[in-house]
Amino acid sequence: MADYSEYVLSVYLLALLLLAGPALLWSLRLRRLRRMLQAEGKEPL
Amino acid sequence: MIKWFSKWHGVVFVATLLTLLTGLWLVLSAPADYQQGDAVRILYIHVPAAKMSLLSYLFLTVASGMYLWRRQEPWDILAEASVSVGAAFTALTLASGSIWGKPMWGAWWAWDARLTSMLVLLILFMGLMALRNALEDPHKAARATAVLAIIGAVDLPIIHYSVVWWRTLHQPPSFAGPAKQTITGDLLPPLLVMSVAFILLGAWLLMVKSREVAARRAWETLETERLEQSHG
Amino acid sequence: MSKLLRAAYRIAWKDVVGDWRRRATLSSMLFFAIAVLVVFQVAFDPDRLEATRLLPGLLWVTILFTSLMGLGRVFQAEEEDGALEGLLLSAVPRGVLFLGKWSGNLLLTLLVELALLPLTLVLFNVDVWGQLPAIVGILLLGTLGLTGLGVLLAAMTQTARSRETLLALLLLPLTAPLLIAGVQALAALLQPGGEVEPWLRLLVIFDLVYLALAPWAFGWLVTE
Repeated sequence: MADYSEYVLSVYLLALLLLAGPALLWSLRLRRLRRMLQAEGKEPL
Repeated sequence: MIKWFSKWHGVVFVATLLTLLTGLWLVLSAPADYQQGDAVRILYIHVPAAKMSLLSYLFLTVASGMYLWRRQEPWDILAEASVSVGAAFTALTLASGSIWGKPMWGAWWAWDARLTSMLVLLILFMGLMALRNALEDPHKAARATAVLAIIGAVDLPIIHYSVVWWRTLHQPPSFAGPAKQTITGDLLPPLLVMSVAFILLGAWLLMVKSREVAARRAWETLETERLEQSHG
Repeated sequence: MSKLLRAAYRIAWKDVVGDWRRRATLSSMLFFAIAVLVVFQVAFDPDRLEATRLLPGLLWVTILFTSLMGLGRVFQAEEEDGALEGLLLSAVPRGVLFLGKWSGNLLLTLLVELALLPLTLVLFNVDVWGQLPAIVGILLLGTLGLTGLGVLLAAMTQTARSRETLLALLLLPLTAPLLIAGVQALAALLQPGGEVEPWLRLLVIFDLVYLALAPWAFGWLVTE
């Protein structure tokens, strides 16, 4: 049986990049927007 | 609805993390496939991601239809969020399928029906994002993307079946690797748990993105109001 | 009913005649199509046999790219003088308005195709003159759906930034079934023993779906 561990590892790293990446980006942006809204005295969502 | 998301996203996040960790543990402890070897472990990412791509589009279609019917902004926020989430899952599906194909088919890419439809799906998600960004008026953008999403929902099955006919009637698939869906015995538990984990992950991503979209829109409304005040 | 049809006819006629007088869209589409043919010839330099094999794809790719030019201008006249608001405010139902715009664009595209087809056969030295009526029929069938979807997408992108790029980005992937069916139907026609019928069926399905869906979708699109 050939060794496929490189392929497998790259897929799991890619999954981390493609799913956790946007999640982190969106969370950070959300936090910044909430802080900005709060500074304006608006009820954050 | 967004308030409800804000209240529950933590719970969903913890559930996602726990299921994902269980799934990964099962993936690592499951035996290698006698045919595909360790490459079968790619499918535990690829198959749930593919399911989530289609589920995201289904959700997008429902949200778009509801928006056109009711014209309530939350449906549009959900639609915008599901486009972003769907694009991420579709990109992962294509990339993981391609990496799986290299050792199994001997090529990164084959123009079979499923891969081709997935590629069109990704372009469609990109087109929906581009259309929303290119339209100045948010109401117009909401309407246009909702209509495009519904056109796409009608088109995707036609695309899928036309590629199937094209490949079977005209030239049979040139790559005869192991079939993708021979899920039996040992493969089932990790796949099931990973599927559940991906559904939870999709729900959590949708929640985060919807909240971000809603916050961005609230901020933009505030800015416009301020601009109008300073002018008037 | 006849009143509505007359309204659609008037919209289409205004577009086609107006364009004919200015020779704006029609001539630029035609010259663009010829330029595409030259590009193909230079890029692939096919011999007679290859040219026959390439012809179906060549014709459809040229038509697809050329139709993008025409579609970019479907709503341009109204956009410039704000007449679309006037049309929308008038008593003409949205579906009829769509029908008018669509048939105008269909007519222009068909005219370009009718000029393009003999030109292609001459320039590429392909001798399929005997099957000309069948080829025209397949092109017509494909063009119905192509322009139906195209006019809808043109309406969607008319006020967008960089709308022509956006139109191409949206139209090209969505017409994949049309392209497959159209190319395969032509290929089956031109080779002995080819089965044309299943591809014609796919073309008809595509046409029916889009011509049924597009007027409704247009209504949703322009209603405030």
